[in-house]
Amino acid sequence: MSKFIYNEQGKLDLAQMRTNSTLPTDAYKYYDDKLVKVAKQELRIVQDCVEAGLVDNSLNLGDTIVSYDKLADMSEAEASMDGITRSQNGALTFNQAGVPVPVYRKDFELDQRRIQAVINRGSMSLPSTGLELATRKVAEKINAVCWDGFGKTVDGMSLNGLRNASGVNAVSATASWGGGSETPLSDIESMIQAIQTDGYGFTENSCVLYVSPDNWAFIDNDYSTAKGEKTYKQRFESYSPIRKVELGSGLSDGECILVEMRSDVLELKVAQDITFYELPQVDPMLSQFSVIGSMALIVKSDFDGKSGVAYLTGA
Amino acid sequence: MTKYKYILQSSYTDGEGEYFPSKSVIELTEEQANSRLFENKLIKVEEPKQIEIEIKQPKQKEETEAETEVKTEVKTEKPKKSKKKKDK
Repeated sequence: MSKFIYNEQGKLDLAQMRTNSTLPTDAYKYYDDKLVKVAKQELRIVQDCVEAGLVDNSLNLGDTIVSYDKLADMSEAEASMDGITRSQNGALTFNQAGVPVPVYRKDFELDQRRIQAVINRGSMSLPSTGLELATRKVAEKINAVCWDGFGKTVDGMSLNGLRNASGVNAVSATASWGGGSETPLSDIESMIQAIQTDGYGFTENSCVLYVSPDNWAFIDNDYSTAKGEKTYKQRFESYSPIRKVELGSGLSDGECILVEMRSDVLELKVAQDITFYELPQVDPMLSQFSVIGSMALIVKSDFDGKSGVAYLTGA
Repeated sequence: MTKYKYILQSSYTDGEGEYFPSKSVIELTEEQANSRLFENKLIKVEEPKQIEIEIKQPKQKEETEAETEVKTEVKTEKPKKSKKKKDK
């Protein structure tokens, strides 16, 4: 029987919790591999934040709200030949903002007879479907919150997603992609132009474009019948700021999101990485497990409401 | 469809490629404004309401009372004047 043990950082101490639990160590390793595999497949935004170094792991499960500062720009620097002319003092203006950090959780169970079969016979026939499905459900929920926000207000603070955060640049597509009169290149150019007008997206390969699943097949078409050598996906990736085009699991039909992966645009605050543990056993024939994670994706805008995110609909 | 004025809280590029910067005023139908694209990005401009002011006419009874008061005042003044005349 396991119990909840927290380490000095306030996160679940899984090694301690698993010491006296029902499953053998090898089974935990097997399950961990499965969990990581599914989580990596599903959590593309989280993975992209990890790649771009936009993850803050300093939170613990006791942190229900995380705050950050909205920063205003400084006045211009002075250029002179003598170097004596003093510049105007730039006082930074901050506006405090904060978001709640939700906990995502999905439970599943295994019957003791199967677990005993694994322990006694040394076989690895432990069913992983429950864990994989629970992980997928947690990942889907995290994705949904990344797009749409948490939807609940805590102490007057709310967690908005990439679609509905204030300041996110809104773009309407010319026409639905695949309908015949679509202009996908001009739609993507409008998105790039929108974030560049706000002062973002000038760095090469700094942005990720998420495309809704319904258009994922469409962007594999050749973008020009005359040239016929590049697909829309490749053409999008050849725009200077776009590093890669990703599948936006959870986006509605005809939606795209362009994000500059920069710490003043996006930050992922992690209180607990996705993991699984055994719940205290109440039925001797049944072991219950839980897949859990706690994180918040902060979509930032500056003091003037400018943002490095563009949101396209109607594509 | 009736269109209403909204203040944009972010930039908006419409389907024809026209760019509206943040804080600009655009006209949208209620259906367009309620679409997912504009969630948390619009503030409705409230049209100034017409305030109706009722001008109440003074009641007739009050008028007659006021008139009688004046009349009585005049009546009371009269003897004073007559007294003065007598003094002279």
